[in-house]
Amino acid sequence: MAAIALQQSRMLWPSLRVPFSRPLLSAAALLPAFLPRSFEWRLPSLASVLELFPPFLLAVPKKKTSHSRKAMRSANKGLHDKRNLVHCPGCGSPKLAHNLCPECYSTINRAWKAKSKQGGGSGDDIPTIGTHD
Amino acid sequence: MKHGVAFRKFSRTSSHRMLMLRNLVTSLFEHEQIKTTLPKAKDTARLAEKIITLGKKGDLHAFKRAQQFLLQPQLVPKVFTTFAKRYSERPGGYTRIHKFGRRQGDNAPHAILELVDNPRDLRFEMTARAVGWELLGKRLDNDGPRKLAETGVKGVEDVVKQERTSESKGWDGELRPKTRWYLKKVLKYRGEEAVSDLAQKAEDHLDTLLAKPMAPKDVLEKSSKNALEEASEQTAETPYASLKSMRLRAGQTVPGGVRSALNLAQGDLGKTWMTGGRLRYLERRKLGVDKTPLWENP
Repeated sequence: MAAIALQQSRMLWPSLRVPFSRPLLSAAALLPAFLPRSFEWRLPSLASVLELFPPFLLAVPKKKTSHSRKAMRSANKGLHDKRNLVHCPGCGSPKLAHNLCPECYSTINRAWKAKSKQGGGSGDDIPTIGTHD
Repeated sequence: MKHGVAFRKFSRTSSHRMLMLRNLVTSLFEHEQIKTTLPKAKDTARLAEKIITLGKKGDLHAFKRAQQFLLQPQLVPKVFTTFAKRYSERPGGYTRIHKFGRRQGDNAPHAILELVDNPRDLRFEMTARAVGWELLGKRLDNDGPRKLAETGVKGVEDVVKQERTSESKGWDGELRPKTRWYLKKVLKYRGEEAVSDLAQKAEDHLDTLLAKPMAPKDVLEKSSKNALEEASEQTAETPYASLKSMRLRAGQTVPGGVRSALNLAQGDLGKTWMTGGRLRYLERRKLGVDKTPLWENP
């Protein structure tokens, strides 16, 4: 597709087809006479850019990191054990310190839901509008 | 940097943030106990207490301000009647935040925000359960729970009344110092019916603990007999069955146990220490002369 487009563009604008050396000649002609003509103006190509930057500036790994070295680096990235474990004062099961016991909360919540289902709007239920005092 | 900045932004614009907090406060007043993330709970608590203060003031100006804030108009009378009466003696601190672990999807710290002294007060329930557990641990003797299950534990309400008026801060009572402290706090601004309510809840929990099966493993093995016959075969002399047969989870303990949760959870890796040539954790400190080991195979 691109090649066809290129050919078409070449055919469409043959007059605009400027050879690459043209600007070179014109630039050289514009220069003063005492300057060396060997000085060439050129669009900087990738190769010339790479010549300016020495190899150690473009960093790249020299070898594949070995399994051993990789493992050594991740030696101190392990998970820490939880040490803030205590007994729940209500049921004796282990729980996080300073937190609610999930077992006890579950029991209390279920008991409350069962009670409110049975009661069906009894006095203990949370009223939306403040009626009883 | 966030040095000294007082308020949270919650990654929301000012109007969105305010509306979110108003919604949370409205939900809190409606249900009196909500579960949300910890930072949201902290900000909601602050605002909710200010609205309750308006309710306690009770004048027309306060009513209008509360009406502007809350998103359900039928809740405003509740603030000015129910809550104003409930917190008439209490100088501030009308909300309570319980930390509740972390959420599954995003590991957000969760919290339960509740109004103090509401019908479902969590601290009240937990204190009642703690009283039940500790009394059971105290009343268990060498005969084990079987004998206690027949008679039941008596005098729970007397213990509650006694501990409530006790000035002691040490271990010279029926309860742990911390449990005694919580008992006093929870009963401070409540009426006398709360004392009997707490005692009733403690007794119920105690009965539940006693009713747990003594040796479920043995029951499963002997499938020919049914569970009732199996349980009735145990006599009063049978002490608490070996802890293996109770099928406790890692870190779980029994009433009167002395080992810490971390030590139990670590199992064989847990540190043990010796006193006088005998492994420390084998002794049931609270039961005086009883020297029977708690574990079959140390």
